[in-house]
Amino acid sequence: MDQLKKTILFNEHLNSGARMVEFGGWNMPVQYTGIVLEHMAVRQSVGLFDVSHMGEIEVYGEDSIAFLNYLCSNNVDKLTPGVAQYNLLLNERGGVIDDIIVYCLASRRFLLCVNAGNTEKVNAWIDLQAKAAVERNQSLEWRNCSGQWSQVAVQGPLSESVVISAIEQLGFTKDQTGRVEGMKSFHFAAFGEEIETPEVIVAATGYTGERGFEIFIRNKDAVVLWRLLLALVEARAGRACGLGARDTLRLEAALPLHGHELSPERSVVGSNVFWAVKTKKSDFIGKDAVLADSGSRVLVGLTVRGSGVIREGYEVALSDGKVVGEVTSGTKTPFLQKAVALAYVDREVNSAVAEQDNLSLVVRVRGRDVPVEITELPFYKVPGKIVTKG
Amino acid sequence: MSKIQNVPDGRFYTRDHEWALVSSDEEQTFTVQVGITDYAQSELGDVVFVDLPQVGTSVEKGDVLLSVESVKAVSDVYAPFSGEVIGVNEELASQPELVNSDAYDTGWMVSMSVARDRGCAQQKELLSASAYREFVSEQSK
Repeated sequence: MDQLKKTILFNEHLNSGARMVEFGGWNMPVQYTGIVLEHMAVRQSVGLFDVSHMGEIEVYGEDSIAFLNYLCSNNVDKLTPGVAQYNLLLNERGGVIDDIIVYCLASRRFLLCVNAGNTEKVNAWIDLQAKAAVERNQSLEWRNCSGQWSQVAVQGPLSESVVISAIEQLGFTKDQTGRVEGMKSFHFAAFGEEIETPEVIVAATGYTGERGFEIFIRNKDAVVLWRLLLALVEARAGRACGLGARDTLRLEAALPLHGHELSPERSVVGSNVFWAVKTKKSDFIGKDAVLADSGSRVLVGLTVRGSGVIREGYEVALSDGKVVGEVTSGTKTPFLQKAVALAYVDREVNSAVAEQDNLSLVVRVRGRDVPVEITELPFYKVPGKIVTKG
Repeated sequence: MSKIQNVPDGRFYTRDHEWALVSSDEEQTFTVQVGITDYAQSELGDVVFVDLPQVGTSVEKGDVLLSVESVKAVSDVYAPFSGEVIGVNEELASQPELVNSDAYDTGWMVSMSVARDRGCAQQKELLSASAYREFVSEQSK
């Protein structure tokens, strides 16, 4: 495990007795006290995650909006300072290079947050596309600043008071903490001397299906912030949470994971994030492929009937044995206490199942056929929460 | 007590981290209770489902007896003896987490009836508690 990258918070995790694993080239905590306990903490009180392995890339300049609108699938030109947006970086075939969040820091200044395992590829991709844009006389600058940022996530019903108390203890003023109070989903506040170089970004985003925040902080302040947050979280019967709980939480919320539901080889058309591809906007990478594709397979939710657990890679079949799909993620999740999964199935099968009660599906589990039913997504949603999509 | 040290005496163990406890001794057969060790449950993480065999199933030593699903993965448990399944722990259907909290007692999985002569020979291939402790120490270095 010596060649793996470590976040600034690595020693904090060791001191907490975390079990560490390799993830995307990083040495990360998979659990501290147990996946089930950590998952339940996020649903019932609050959980704290080190997500510093995520990458950060700055894009700015006069033509940054035009460039990002071409590079990314969503309407980047609709962003205003303090608003963030879920985006997909598509390739020419309509496959997904990465799913990212674009933060609008100022009218021509953006921060892209990219997946840990994809940071190098995305960086190379942006480099390629940006250099081509500059050749076409676009005025553009870009920089991989992943090495300067740490990131933590505070997720759960009690997350807001935890974040506000922590930043108060860091010396933030009432004006500053006021910007976090009642912050709307996918909005954020940047703090620091200069807009161009914020010290801290507090964003109402997350990957758990709960109310929560993701905080970008400069490496030099990361340990202090982590310790403040951990004390506040534990005082509210919350816990530090690792990648194990991060995965079970996002699965319940039906949030896709790149490498599972999204990949460069699979068209984005059948996924459950196709809403983030704005086919009516002017040209963007992958637009032609997406418009030409009717999406032979579509992502659905599956719930096991009876007993058994279905997992990534298992085949979905009709009762006569014909294979009609494949599971991309699945487990028995702690809050729902049900074996659920995300799977791509043939579009006609999905429609047929909706129309006919007696068309049944099974998943092959080590030689046994486990009956499953198609379930509406997400499996879990905070009661009363309106899921806003940018 | 660390997982490595929590290995009760009076049972047999396998290199696949199963324990076997001889619970009764007849003329022709003996009954063995089977489960997984504390070290195994700790490595697996939170158990969410135990896929137990049907009572009456016959197995050969080394066959897959059952599988244990944790949040992250599925793990096979192998028969330490050849024999017939005569009982399964039905509590695990509603409380799979007993495997984590009490691997040697209420987290037991299967009881088997083993023919005496074959059983005695197979028993010699199993590890004693101290041999298993040493094995696990080596594993976790």
